[in-house]
Amino acid sequence: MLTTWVLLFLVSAVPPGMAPVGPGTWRSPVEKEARSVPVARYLLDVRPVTNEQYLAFVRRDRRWLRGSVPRLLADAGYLSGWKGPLELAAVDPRAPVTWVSWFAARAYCQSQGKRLATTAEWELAAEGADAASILAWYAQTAPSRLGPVGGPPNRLGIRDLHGLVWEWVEDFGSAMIGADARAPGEFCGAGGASARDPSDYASFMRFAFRGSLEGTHTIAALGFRCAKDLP
Amino acid sequence: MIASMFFSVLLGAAPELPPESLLRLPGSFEDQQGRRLQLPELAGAPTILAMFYATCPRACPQLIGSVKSLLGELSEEERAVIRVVLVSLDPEHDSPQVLAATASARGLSAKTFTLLRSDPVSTRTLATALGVRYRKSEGPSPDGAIEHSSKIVLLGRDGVMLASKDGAADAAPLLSALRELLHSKGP
Repeated sequence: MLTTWVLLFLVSAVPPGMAPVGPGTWRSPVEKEARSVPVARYLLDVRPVTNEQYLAFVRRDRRWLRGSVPRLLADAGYLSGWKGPLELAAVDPRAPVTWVSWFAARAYCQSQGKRLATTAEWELAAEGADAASILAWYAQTAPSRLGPVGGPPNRLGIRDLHGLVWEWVEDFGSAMIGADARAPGEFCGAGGASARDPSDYASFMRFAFRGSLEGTHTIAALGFRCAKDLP
Repeated sequence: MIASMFFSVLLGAAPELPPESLLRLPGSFEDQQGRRLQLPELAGAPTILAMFYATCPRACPQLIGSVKSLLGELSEEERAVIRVVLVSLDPEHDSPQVLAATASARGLSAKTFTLLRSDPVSTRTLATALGVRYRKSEGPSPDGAIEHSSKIVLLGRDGVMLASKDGAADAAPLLSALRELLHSKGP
């Protein structure tokens, strides 16, 4: 009996620094999509990837050094918050790494045997947060120096989903706010897509932000964390 | 010179593609004849690249139509050296058999047209590099429908993007870039 429990514990053991999320259903905040996406149970990093973690990655994989990455995979801002290609200097080593493209974020996660979360997965993990405080954070301009990761955990034990940086997701390119999505009579919140529910406006803003991104973009307040399928 | 040729033969290496070449993107692909290939194998010809899916009701026939009308502007000799690569946004459903059926239904000869599918991760990689956005519609729209932006891209012989055309935009700039490429000896 005891052995069974020990075995069960080992099989279901969650790797350090990750937390299980779901299963559940995520409902898009965009009226036009009107869909519910089922999300299988998966693992998500408890914290965003930090500068020092990303520095260790570029030391191992020089293809992702600042100055070595082709424009196809990251724009000119790549890691521009750092003093040098291998020197953090002004930034807090324990702050989330930012100025990283989607391609770079994916390469990092891949190097850890992980992947980026999908939009539905990420949003499911982030559900239940206080909308007013998130919107207050969105309204601020990014601070010139980001603080360290490790804010208070949410109901799943996951930290910093709000309040520190925006985060890349695998399918950011599924958010479409271009002319294709424009229909007459809709509130023009984000190029024509309209919010289903005002209380979900924070989620809608994330949708609009993702819709404005390209995979090569690097931004001061955009970082990432990694996810993983449950074994 | 001979020594370097010898070494590249020895290492089985294709001529080095520039860092900005789209053909350096990772992923394993299958064409409409079930052949497995990787993107670097497509280097060497002026290439028109677009993404589509087989069961697409509206946008994709239009996309293929505009690729065909682009080809229609060229002479037979010019057409003979061009490769058109159409990559599926729906790799789960677009098997080589489905791609072959699409090719024959739309009159896409294998001499010019290569229809490919990969896996979901490599598909997202390529689409993102091209600036193609897409999502599976779930809910009220028909099952399996994929909303996507339409983009036709011109690649040089080395896979570097030279020009592109979004949706219903004017094809003239793409066509002139294509002509210029066809009459240049460079990559």
